[in-house]
Amino acid sequence: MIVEQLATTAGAGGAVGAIPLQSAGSIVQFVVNGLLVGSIFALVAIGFALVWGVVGIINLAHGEMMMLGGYVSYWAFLGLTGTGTGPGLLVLATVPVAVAVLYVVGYGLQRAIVTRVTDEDMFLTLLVTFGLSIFIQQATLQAFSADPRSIGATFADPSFVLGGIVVPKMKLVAFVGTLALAAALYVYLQTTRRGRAIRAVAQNPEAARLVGIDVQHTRAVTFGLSAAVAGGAGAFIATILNVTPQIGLNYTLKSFVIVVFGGIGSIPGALVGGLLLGTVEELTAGLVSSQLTLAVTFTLLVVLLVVKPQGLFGSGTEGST
Amino acid sequence: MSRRAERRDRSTAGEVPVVTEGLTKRFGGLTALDGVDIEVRDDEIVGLIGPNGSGKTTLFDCVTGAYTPDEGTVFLYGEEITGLSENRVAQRGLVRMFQQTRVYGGMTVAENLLVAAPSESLLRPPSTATREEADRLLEYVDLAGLAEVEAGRLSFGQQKLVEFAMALMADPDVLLMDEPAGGINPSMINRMLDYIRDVNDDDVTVFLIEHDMDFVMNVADRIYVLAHGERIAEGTPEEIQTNERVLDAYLGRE
Amino acid sequence: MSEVDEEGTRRSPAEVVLSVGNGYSAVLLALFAVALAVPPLVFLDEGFYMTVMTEMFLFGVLALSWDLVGGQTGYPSFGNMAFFGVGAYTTGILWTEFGVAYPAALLAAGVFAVVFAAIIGLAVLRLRGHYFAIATLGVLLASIQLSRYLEITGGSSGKVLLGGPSGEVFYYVFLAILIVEMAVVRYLSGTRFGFVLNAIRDDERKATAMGVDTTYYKTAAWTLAAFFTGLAGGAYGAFNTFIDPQTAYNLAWNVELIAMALLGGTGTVAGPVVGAFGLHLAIVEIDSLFSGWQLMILGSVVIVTVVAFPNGVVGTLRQRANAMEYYKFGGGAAGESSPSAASSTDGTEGSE
Repeated sequence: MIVEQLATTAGAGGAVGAIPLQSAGSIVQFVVNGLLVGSIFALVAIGFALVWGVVGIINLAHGEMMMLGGYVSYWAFLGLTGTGTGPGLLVLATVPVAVAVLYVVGYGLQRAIVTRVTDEDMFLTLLVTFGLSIFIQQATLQAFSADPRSIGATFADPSFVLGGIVVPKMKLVAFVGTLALAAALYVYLQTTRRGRAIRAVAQNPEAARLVGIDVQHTRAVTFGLSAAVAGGAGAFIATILNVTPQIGLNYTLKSFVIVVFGGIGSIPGALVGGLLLGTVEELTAGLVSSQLTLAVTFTLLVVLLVVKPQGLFGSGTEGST
Repeated sequence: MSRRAERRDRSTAGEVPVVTEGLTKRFGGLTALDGVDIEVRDDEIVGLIGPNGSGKTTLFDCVTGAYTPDEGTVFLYGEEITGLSENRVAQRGLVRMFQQTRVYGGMTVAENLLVAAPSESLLRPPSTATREEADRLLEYVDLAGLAEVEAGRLSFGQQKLVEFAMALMADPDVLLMDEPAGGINPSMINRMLDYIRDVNDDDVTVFLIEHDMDFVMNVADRIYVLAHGERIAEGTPEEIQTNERVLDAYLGRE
Repeated sequence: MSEVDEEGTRRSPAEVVLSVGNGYSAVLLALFAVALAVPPLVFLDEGFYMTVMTEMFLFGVLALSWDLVGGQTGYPSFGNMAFFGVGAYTTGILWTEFGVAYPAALLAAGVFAVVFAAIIGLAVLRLRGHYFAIATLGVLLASIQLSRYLEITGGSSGKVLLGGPSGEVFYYVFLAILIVEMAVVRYLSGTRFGFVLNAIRDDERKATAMGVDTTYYKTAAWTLAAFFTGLAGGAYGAFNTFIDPQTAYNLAWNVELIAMALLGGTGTVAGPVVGAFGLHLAIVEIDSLFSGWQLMILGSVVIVTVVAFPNGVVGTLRQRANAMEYYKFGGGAAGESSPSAASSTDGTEGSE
């Protein structure tokens, strides 16, 4: 039931047909799988929503932040263990590394490049970030090759069974970990000074500037945080799936769907949206075919945009008119 | 112009250009229009005034099809057009000008007029007749020398004239103008009054929103007054000027 | 907004030459076509340079098609390669699986792309700005996944397409597609159809209020762009002798073609083509120097282009040309008009 589109080695057109006769138990299994993976989608989307809401741009290179986080975590794990395999919980040590590194990357990117196009036509911003996405993908490809990487973190007993439902421990760790990061971000934004500054800039940059907030720095911090949580998500992804330079774009698209659903700049919305999307994808993968998940995602996206462009939780300032 | 002949037929048939009955429009908790009845009769110039936020532009939007009213109906020459899409309404001869003056900024002034001509064949360059009409209208609004300039570079007043010329180019039966006197200086205001009278003489029915009292009293045959989305008065300029309810509304006593 | 002087802002000669819908540009296009048709007949042999030029024509088609919807109509698509891929697979499948003759299979590519575009357009053309952009990106990504999934497309392995025409034939095929498209777009730009597209770009609400059925026009432009892009895709398969999801729906080309239109100047006929030729040549050069780095350079070029030349090269030149006119007729830095204009056309408070 693994979300398969990340692997670049999908079979030769694999005619995967629908698996007949689903029992209620399997459906629940799919839903559980979906929630477990959905929290990762949610975390990535939260970062995406944050940048969109605060800096006002749609960052098409966001998926690459996640991808880089996966690589950082991979190398960190390799460094820690020497062999590339180790106990499952050890992966938690690599997550902060990924988070920290990607924070710096995000901050730097914003100040160096993104800030120059923040006030331009949204289309130009999309183009620049798309260019950035390609650049980062290619640089990573050059540096690390296309070989899929995965963190060999394992538990002695890989999963436990709860009421007939199989719950892989690594996925549970990822689930809890990503939710923890999301919660940490939320708390940060609500309680710290910088967090309040970020929210101020999101609402009204001019007013924020007038009360002495360094808007440039705040935007860069936001970008950094966005990249950081994406990187953290990437670290968890590396434990469950393969990481290659090309996995980013699909996640960016998923994030877009989630944020449109949940509302721009809304963390709770992105959380709900991510869990939902994960569930929908797993159900699709289980009941129809794992190869069609993106088609489903895309269809959802179009339906959403046509029906309810403001999302469920968001401020509703953007739309299709 | 074929439409002029149609217009004469429509008016001799006794049809009223624009009628709204019980027009109501709500936005969430706000009632922008509440049961508004108006009539714009043939060859009239009708003014629509009222304090800010009284629903005037919303009324226009419901008439032109930009919004679908929650209740009520709109008729154009006797045919119901409630909720019909904006472009279809425009195709039936009701042309609307905007408060913030909309022109096609990236195209030249001449192109703005050419694209406003409705009956042009799709895959041909503009016909000679259309080009001549565009030239004539540009002369009429005294912008002939700026024909090749990008409309976006023009001043606000010049853009207003372009928008007006575009509206005429579309050969309307009914012309809706949203604050034609807005943001222009006194010498231009007199020109605008003349333009409106000219177009009215040419069998075009005019319905205009305006804040400039002198302007609207000067040019309108009849006036409707809106306040808080309701129609509170209707009459000639003289009647309106002495109407207690109108004074109350503007002075905030309502 | 400042006053504009009557005399001081007539279009400069450069603008006249670059603009469409006049006699000069028709002659130029003919000269262009002839100039490019000559080399293989006289001195250009099959090989590297012919391939590069063929690719230049290909990119010209892609960029111009994108511009029709993006630059002329104001709907910047991030998924045009979806049409390319649909065309590539259509021709590939018809030709190899069903034995359809190559020319017919090629034409079918354009037709299928149009049908595809029409269907997708029903949903995405309602969306504006970045929503439209992302939705089209979604179409592209979903198409990639779909082609990996289906057997008939050969899945991830793709299809091998040997036995097609020679390189020289493809040179002319792509050149022909480009010239035809340039002629069509040039012609349309001078007709009501072209004007309406630009009107939709400049103010879609106004166009609607003036009676335009914008959905109809947007769909027409979108399917026209799809036709040429699909046709190019159809030709590409046999030209490249191979297609798979990654080459048919090439994500790098997807952004490259947008960059080309931007670089060259959107909203013109010459702009996207100039941008395509220039950027492709540049990338080929760079690739020969730093193999494997061309995509990184591409990414950088896109970034720099957007930051430094938001209006593209041609567009920036036009702006400079306009500015020069201001200065020439005594206009100041703020574009003030000459005194004679003030009395004749002044009507504003100067407020906005």
